[in-house]
Amino acid sequence: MQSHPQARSRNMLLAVAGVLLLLWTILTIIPLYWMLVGSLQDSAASASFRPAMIPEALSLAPYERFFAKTAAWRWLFNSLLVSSVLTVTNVFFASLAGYAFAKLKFPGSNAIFWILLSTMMIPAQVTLIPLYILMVNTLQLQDTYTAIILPTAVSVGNIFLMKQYMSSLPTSLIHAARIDACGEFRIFWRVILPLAKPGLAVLAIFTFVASWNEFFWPFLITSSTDMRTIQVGLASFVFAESTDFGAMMAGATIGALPMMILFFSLQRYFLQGITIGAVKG
Amino acid sequence: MKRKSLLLSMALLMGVTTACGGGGGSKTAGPDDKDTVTVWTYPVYGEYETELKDRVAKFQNEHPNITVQTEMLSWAEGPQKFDVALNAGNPPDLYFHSVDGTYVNTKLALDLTPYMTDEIKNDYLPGTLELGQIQGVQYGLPLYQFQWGWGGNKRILDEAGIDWKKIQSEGWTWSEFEAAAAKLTGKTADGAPQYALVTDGSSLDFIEMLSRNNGMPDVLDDGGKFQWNDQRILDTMSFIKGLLDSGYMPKETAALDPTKRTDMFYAGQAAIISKAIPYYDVMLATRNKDIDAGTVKGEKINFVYLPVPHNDNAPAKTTTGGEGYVAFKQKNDKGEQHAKNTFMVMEYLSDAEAGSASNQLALPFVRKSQAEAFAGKELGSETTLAAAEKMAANAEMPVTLKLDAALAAKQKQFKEQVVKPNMQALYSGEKTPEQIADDFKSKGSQSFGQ
Repeated sequence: MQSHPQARSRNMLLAVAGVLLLLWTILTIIPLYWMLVGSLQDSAASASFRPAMIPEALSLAPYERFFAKTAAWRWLFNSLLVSSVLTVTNVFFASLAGYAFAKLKFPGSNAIFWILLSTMMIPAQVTLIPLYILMVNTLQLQDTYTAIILPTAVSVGNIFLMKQYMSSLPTSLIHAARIDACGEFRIFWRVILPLAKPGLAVLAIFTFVASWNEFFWPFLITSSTDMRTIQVGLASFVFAESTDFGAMMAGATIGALPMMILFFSLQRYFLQGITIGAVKG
Repeated sequence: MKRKSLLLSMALLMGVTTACGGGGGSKTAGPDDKDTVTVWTYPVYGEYETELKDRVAKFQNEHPNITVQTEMLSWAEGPQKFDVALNAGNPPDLYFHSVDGTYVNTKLALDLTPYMTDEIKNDYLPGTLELGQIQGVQYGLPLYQFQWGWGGNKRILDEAGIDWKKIQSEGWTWSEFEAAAAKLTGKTADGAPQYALVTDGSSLDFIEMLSRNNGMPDVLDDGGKFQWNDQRILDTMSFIKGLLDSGYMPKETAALDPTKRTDMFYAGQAAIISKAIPYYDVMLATRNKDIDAGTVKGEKINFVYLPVPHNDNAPAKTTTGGEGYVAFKQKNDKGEQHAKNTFMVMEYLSDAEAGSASNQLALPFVRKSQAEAFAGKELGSETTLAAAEKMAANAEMPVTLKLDAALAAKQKQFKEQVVKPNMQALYSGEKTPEQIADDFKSKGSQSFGQ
């Protein structure tokens, strides 16, 4: 029996899409594979312009050099601490603000929300120097965890995300809680937060990933080796005329590992994050 | 409740205002008072970080009231960090760099004249102290005098039959280079492309060195006259375009960074790289030893230090300059004693023992005491040192040493905002040399009023 022409063209399209997606996947994986292979080869081999995709000999020497010659454990600890604290502060403050903007009626709420949103239009480069002046010259917080954490303790983007998410939650539940004499914070804590868990999870993951990968601000505000995060520490492998690529790739692999674990274990939430706020409830 | 919040807000506001305004009127500090001097520097050579730590510890033992806080920056991002700190009015006391008109423009560069004793001045070799000056005012103490040439792979040059010894002693022209480039371009043993010349697309050294060898000292000359507005810059651009079109330089040049340039040199994919100092001799000798010991894999490379080719009708010029520590004060000035302490640390980090930098980099010493301390311990092969000496005869000093600070700042801005994107466009084939020359002319006339 001959297949329907429409079904045939659909199958053709699916096959083309499949091939394109496969190519895209390979292109995406190559840098990661290069990083992994580079971390398991000696420096000279991994520094080649066209790296050997199938290494002749594997070596853990770059990992040994990375841990022996640097304060890698300290950098990893710093990254973990900073990312964790920022995740907690962002989840807490952004959900509070998001709830207020989405569900509470107070004078000027729209104006405040739009003012906050408009700050997202200002490029980070513009605020960099004033922020540096505030942190270093005024508050004298350079080279401290506080200085790394404070400027992004809550971001407007996250407030916006939570506002959109919380708008989709049923307001009738809040009214019911009020009738039962529940206070505003209790409503937020007992009613809203449990319902907002998927949104909060997305927020937490995105914040953790962004904080883990942040380079310039921690680099700018820290001065001692012990205060560096893993991303800042990795940059110290680049010298003027030579780079220990093996050790750098080993560091990059170690640095990327928590993100990979996080992604694969919480893949569901990552995908949810793409559509969050896309449809207003 | 409302009143309580109002009081709390007022208290907070007062706290912040006090913090903002505080610190300006500090009492006069004495020579024995505790002080901290901050130093931002770079890994100048392989062992610099370790040596600096040892030296700082020794200094602090001798001067227990002074704490020296050093920070080792990465070459790629360090300048950005310094720019932010400088613009925020809070630069470190000492920063490793060449002196720059933009620093003077901020009025935060520290004039060292009051601290320069005759003993210090007389210790500097002729022409070297000027490398730390802007219009005759001393802002920095040079640690070494750099000299930029090109670096060749001896095996590839020999195999192509290039008489590099003749080039080292007599120099070469652009047409002679093009003839050599044709022989140097091909394939490596493992089938990868081998280029005659590899440069990076991110910095401006290449165009600066070539234009200098076509009769233009810089974008401006030392009298402030705009130079990159005539046939000379068009010829320079056309020369580069020709090298790209002939396949003598990689098509991916726009995407290459300095590290990748060096990596290609190590991998035998670059016969010549566009920026080298005699230090390569020392660095490659160490690498060759590591290869012999089996700790590093790869081909052993012998270094050939080459002069930059010059246009057939322009004289050869060697790009030189000085790098070392530049002193700064902060917007919230810490006083005269702090400035004195800063200079004391600066002089200590630039003294005879600090000659190790010139020695390691196989560059000429800047101080008599350094030359004496390292006499007989010079690193670098005789051939390279002889080539460096020959090239030093054509040395072209940076115009920024004589330029008015405001003009120097404008030149820097022109390079960043006009030259850099245009060079990227040239490397990627988005613009022709003619379009770029026209752009230089029109934007230069806007910037410099000429």
